[in-house]
Amino acid sequence: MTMTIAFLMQGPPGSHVLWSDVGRRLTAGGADVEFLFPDTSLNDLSHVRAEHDLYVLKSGSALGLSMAGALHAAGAQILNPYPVAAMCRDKIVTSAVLSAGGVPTPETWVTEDTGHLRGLLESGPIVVKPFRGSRGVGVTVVNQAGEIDELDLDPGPLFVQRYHPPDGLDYKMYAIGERVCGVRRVWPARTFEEKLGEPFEPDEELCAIARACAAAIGADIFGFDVVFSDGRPFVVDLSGFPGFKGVPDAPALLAAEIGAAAVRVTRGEPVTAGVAR
Amino acid sequence: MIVRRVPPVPSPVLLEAYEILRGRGYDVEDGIAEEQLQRPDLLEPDHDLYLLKSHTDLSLSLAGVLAAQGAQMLNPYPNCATTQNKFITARLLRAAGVPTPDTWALTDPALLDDEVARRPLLVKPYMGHRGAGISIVHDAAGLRAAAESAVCPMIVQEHIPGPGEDLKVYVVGDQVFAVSKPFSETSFAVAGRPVAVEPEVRDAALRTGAALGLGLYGLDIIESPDGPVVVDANYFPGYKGVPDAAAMIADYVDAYAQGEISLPAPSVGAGAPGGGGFAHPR
Repeated sequence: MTMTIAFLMQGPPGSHVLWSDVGRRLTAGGADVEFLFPDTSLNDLSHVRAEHDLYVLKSGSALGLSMAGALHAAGAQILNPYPVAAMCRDKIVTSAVLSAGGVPTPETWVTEDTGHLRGLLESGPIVVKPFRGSRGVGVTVVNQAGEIDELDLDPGPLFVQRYHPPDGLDYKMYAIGERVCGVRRVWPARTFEEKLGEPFEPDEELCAIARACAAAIGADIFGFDVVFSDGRPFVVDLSGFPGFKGVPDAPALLAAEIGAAAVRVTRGEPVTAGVAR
Repeated sequence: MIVRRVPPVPSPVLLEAYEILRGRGYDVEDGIAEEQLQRPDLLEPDHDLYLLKSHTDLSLSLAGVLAAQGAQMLNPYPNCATTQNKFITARLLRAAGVPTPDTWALTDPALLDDEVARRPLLVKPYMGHRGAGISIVHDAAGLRAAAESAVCPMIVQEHIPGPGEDLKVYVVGDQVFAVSKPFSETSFAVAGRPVAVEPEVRDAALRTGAALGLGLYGLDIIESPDGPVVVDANYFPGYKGVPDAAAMIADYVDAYAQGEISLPAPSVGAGAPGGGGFAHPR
């Protein structure tokens, strides 16, 4: 029987070069592949059914995530599993779970009261992030108390971390099953080449951090950002299903991992391999 | 107890429930997440049971942190998180045989032009409770106007005609109560008029609890000409106007703390006719 795989995508159809490539590779391997775009569809909630063997949740939109939630409730197998994807959208839970799993993370606070921030500045600069944000939008470093009143903040919880100034480049790390890839990138990147960054082979320290992240969050495919400060690594962000920009062989690696997950679910095994656990 | 900030005065029902539980030897503490500076990376469960009363983002996140580390919670955290998402509850309730309005999720209002030409629709935010931000639209222009002020994605529901009063249903385990209130965005603060619970209402309420894995919960029901229709569900409501609510809540919390009740995670099939069963052994 042919395996059927559906990708839950975000944004307009036709703008997903990497994922089209992944889809073609899975099709060549004998799978039936479909791309779904919940954001531009009329989603009839009363009749959501799991119609594919495996769903790949690439979309990070609220609608994409909720669609995955409805599919999960209907018994669908999803990569990453819906509870993992939902958790990764919540920086508070993610940072706590990483820290509890032994991943090196900066000290973290949450509050709705900016009055608490002054006290934190006595021990050094902090970085304030939106509670639900991604791609570095709205991330602000605060060095002095006077800057707190100038913060342009949305109402709601504030996610605050100790700021550790990077020794050099940002390390964008990607885990695809057992494979860990790294891209060094200037932050903030200005040119297209800077955005692509420079791929490198991660050392054992970074691979161990990747395994600890995988075990903590329960995902096989994810990305995370590492900053080295005074030689010490800190995981400053984690994303459930990143773009894999600049990762050599990303389409082949992703197709192999997704194909393996589809084989697992058709055998009745868990969707994640749990390589690191 | 993770409580909410609004209103600033603690609910008398809760205070009374605390007293009853203290009388039985429980240590009861409560906290409002928004007023504190929390260290989520150091937060560990240090109570035998957490009661999640608040519906704010921050409270849900902190509850998520505690649950990820094995904290016992009433109602269970994943079930509360699911209940907050109208998108997922629509699917679960329909599968459980609960009468619910037809429901769609979308970002582009033009996709429902044909539908709104046939019948009035209700536009609501996809996260939230208490009827905040709901509008009724009668045509494509109204739908566009509502879409402009709505937070995307929108949940759009078939508008259920009713008698102008909402039935607020409050449930503790398998005990179901109902009060009737005029519909408005602020009606959660008003005590309703207690009314008898019809068997159809009771059945819809218990199916909802089983489908969402909730033991302390509330429903908004519209009594349509075709029977009761569940238009909203929320965990741990205020129980305003319910006689002896504090004692029943305290008994339920007591039984849950003693492991006598389990509330499984929501899934399609739970609470469905002929399958799943109700999550309330008592």
